[in-house]
Amino acid sequence: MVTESAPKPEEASAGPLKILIADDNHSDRLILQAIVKRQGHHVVTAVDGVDAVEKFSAEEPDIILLDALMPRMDGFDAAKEIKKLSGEDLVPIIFLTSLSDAESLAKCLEAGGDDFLSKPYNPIILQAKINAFNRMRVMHRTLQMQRDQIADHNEHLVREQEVAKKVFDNVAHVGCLGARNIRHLLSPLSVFNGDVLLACQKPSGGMHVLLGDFTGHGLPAAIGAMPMAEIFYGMTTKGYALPDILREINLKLKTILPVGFFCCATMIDVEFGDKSIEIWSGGLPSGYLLQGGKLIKVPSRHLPLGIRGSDSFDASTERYEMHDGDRFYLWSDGIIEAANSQNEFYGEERLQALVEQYIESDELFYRIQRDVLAFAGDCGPGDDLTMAEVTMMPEHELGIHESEHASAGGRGPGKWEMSYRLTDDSLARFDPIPLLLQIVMEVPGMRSFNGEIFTIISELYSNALDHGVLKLDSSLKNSSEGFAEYYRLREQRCNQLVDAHVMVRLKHDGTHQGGVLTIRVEDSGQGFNWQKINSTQPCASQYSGRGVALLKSLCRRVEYFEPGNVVEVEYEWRL
Amino acid sequence: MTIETHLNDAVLSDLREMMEGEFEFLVTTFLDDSAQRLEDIQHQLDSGDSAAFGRACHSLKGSATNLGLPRLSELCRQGEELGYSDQMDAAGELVGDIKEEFEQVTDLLKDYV
Repeated sequence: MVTESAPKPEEASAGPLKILIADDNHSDRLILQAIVKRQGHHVVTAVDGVDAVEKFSAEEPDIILLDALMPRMDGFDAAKEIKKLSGEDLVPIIFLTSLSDAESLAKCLEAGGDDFLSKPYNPIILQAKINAFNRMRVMHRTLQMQRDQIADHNEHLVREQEVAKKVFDNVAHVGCLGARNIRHLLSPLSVFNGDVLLACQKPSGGMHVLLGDFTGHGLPAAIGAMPMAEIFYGMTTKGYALPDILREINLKLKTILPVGFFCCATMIDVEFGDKSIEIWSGGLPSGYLLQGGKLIKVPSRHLPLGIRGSDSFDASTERYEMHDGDRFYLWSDGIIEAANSQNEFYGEERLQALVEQYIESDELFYRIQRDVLAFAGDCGPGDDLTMAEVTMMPEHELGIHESEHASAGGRGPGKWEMSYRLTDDSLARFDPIPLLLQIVMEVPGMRSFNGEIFTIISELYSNALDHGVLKLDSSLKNSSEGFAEYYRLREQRCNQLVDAHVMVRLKHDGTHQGGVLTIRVEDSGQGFNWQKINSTQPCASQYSGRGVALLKSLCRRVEYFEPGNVVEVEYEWRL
Repeated sequence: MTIETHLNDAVLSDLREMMEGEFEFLVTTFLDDSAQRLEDIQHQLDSGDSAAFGRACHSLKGSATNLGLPRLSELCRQGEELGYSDQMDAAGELVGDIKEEFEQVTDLLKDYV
């Protein structure tokens, strides 16, 4: 890029100037002309005010020497006219006058005069004035040029940011921030102060929300947001679990961001089915969970994303029950790091006090915003305040529809079968559902049924693993204590697996317009009394009991085989 | 009264040096212009327009100052003051003085060139 450099003042003042002399008195004009010429400048003369304005327009002189009293148009009016014509440029006007009363001198200044020269003309004084005004004129021009350059650069920067913002919005467009259970405060160009808020429905119907705060500001802060959003949306949509997504984002950021750049983040997984929330927080201020009217502080337990290598990255989460109406709050550190004029931080304590006071009111965000702005005063935290509230509610009230996923166009197979067998510690450590789902989604046209198929496969698989292999009792989840116990036992038993397996067989038969997907899942457990479940009335609100009712509502056939460790379902679809 | 009352030698020497070959032309121009201005001054005196009279005196004062003619300049200054303060009673006599002084400097300047 080439930029015009401003002229150096020394150079500009050394060259000859063009000077307009306007005086109706011939002999005075002759004297002045002689003085100015001797000093090496070019002279243009005018005999009255009208002539002076015309010569100014035609000759564009650098400095003007103007007599006050002239026929046709006097110097005062000519000066006003010339100042109007010169617009933003500085064209110094020196009044030639022997006026001695203050009133007349004031009139010169009012008309736009910059200085006076009295008779008899003194060449040294005139030279000093011309040089001084020329320096001022050149400085003024340099300043203007630099101002225009800065304005240009700024405009350029804003344009670039708008483009980058558009690209980012395209990457992040599939989000479900508009769901009724999410409220948030986010500045329109927040990505450039490093804040990112992402939300995406899982194929199972739950929701992932991620609030990230990159180090720094401007483009360096925004640059990591793109891959982060892409991984977040891509993996969530494909059914990956929160720890897998975090690991992937962490690795990506660690790889692409320079040392010293990272992303403080909180990511949550909201399950509307079993009414729970899983929280991972690295580096952001504590979040707050409002659980049955009680406020629980959920502090950050991890390092930010993009710091640790894959081998030492800790994706462990905390799980809480949430009833309908319970809420979780998360914020970027713009709030607690807002500083006042004494360089004092707003801090977590002030935030917590405000949360406690206004938690039940609809005004919490507004109160926080107002309080932080008032605290910071003129030092202003800018628009760095990002906050989000996620509420638990029945899933059908969220007001979002399954997002249409752009597909690259299907050329995948319509008729195929496969089986996939996981054993022992692979069972404990690996979640095969996204992988299996991806294989199924290769069937052309199948993508629209992503959610239902995910639900079926994950239901069958978790039945096989949790109940079949790990022998966990789903009725435990009915109480708060049991809820925790369930997950404790699950972890414990996962670490003790011997000769255990789950085998999933998938078979698809059909065309791009429709078909039948057969899923058969077999586990190494002892089976269960499936006849009993088959005979009881389906009860939708009861989440325990292997979700048989759910499966039956989605599949045209659900069949168990003795001794109850094998189940096969048929899912029929049609575009 | 010495010559210095009428002509400021230092100013005129500077002018002569500065104007180089044009000095004579400057003096001629001044004398021609000033004759015109004197007519103007007389005209405004006759018409009784005191402000215009003041302006006409002011104009001649300026060029007289530049040419280094102290007494002419001073007389014009008094005329300017009379005009602006509308004391035209004394103006007639002053115009006579100005004309007399102008004739005097005309002679002196011719010697100077």
